[in-house]
Amino acid sequence: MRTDSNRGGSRADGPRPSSEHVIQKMGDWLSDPKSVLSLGKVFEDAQKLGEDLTERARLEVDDPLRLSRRHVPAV
Amino acid sequence: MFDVRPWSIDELKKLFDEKSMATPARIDRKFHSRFFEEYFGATGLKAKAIVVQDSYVDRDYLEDFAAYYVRCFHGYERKCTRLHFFAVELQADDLEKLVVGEAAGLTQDELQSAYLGFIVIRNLPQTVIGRTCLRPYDHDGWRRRYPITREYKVSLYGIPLTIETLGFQEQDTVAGACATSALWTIFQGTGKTFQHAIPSPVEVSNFADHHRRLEARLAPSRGLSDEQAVRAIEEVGLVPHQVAVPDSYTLITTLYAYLRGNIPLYLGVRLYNAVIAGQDIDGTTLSLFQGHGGHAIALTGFSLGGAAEVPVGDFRLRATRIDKVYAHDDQVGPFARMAPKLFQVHWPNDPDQGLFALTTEFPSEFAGMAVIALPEIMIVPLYHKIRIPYDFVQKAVISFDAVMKDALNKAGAGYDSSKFTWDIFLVTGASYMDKMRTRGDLARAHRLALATESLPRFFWHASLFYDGNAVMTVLFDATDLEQGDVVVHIVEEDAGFSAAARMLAASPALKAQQELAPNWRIWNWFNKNP
Repeated sequence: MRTDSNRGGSRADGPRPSSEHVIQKMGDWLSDPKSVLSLGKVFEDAQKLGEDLTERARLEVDDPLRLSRRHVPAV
Repeated sequence: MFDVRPWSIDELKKLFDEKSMATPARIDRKFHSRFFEEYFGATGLKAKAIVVQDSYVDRDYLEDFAAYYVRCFHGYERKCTRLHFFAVELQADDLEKLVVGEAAGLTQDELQSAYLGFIVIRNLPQTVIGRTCLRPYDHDGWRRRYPITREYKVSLYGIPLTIETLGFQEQDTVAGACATSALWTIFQGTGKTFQHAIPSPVEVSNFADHHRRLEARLAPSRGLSDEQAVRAIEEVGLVPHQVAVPDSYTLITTLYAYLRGNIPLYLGVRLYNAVIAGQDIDGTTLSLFQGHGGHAIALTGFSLGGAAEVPVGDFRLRATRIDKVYAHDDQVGPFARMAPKLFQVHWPNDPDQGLFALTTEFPSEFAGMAVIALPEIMIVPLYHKIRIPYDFVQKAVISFDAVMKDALNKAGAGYDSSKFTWDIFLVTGASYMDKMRTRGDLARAHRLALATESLPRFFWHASLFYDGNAVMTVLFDATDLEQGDVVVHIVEEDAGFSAAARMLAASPALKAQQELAPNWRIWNWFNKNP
């Protein structure tokens, strides 16, 4: 189901660009074959960024923090 | 007939002394005394009166008593004392009149609005602070958030009172350990969120007993391992989701996402004494060393006190405005403040090293030193149907955000990339529908459509804002499989942005990408809903 409050278009004079402007610009850009080519690369890079940022939350046995702990003497 | 005393920290210490077996010297040394002085003081809850309720039967202590103390040669007292705190001056005569329903110097409603909560005093030699339910600090313009509080019903000599908080109690080294107290607090929250029975401390320790270390004994308890904490969570019917905490970003974004979904988290830390100067720690033996060993706390709130989001690359997340987290730390108190910091350690013979740790209110026994907590593990107790973890959703959102912003920039669409901010957290379908049905700025037809839509019980709520204005909200089905479609709904609030997303989603360059990529679910939703 699509739920569109259609509020974006009514805020053309607000802080964001008008929907007509965005659609026009995006249409122009996507009609250029070079844009489509670069989009594939952007998609791959974005995927990598997402993985880099989130994978570090997975459990790791030997992360740098634990290495630093080994330096710390216990008394 | 009624024992009503004016509030002061000396009066509170005197009551701890009168109503327990602890010596005044021991009470004075307890950090809780200092914590309560600030908590109830002029900068805190501004307490004015204490009502002493003797011969109070506390269910949690009674379970511990039955499991251990009753068999001791020494005759320990099974009843406790409960102290009630009020932010209004109160006379015994007024309380007596209210108890019998007569007109008094204040009304029952006024008594309720001045009620700050209670502390149960156990009549033990050391760990005297039993079940404690205290009102949190005010939200300070919604900077401070305690999403996991619940209502506790209280009967003060028959006068019904309520307090909105999350229970706390000090580690009882006989029936439990700090981890037991942390888990007990967590179960106070998850018991309401997920409708499971709430165990007493000794029952929590018994749950953990299934994975007891060979050299350890259950009672007296010397602490639980992470494995035992995991086991205890499983015993109440929840699924423990373990997350490593290598940096501040992971800690604050993960705790925000789950706490907003009414799920408190377990944090295992190791405590160190450190000489701290600003962000610097001298790494010499006398300036940084282990103290108190391992410790466990329950994460129960956060402060969104940062002036702005801290971007990671070009990605901005609301949770990065967190400057403090609040924890029920049984050695400190409820909603104790901890601040995530990246320290620079200057080792004597090695290169300097960044060290992520949390400042604590835990007292160091060494002059001039502070106690810092190095996070080791975070455990999220989840209802079994919540299968999609936070990091999956974050990954999808980060990559969708990067593609959208890159394309909008290159197309010259007029957006400023630095003004996009995401807010990601877990919600229940029921609470989301309740919130949306009354949103007057959404068209009536759309609110009706949402209310009648079949939604999962839990979902991830990822909202995108542009300069503070809503752009869209992606709803990920938290009960789905990672291989599933996952995105069940998108609420669109910026027609231009949505149109651009549809144009990108339909472009051959994106369609050719691997369909299992997490962000593909968002593009796919736009394709399926032209």
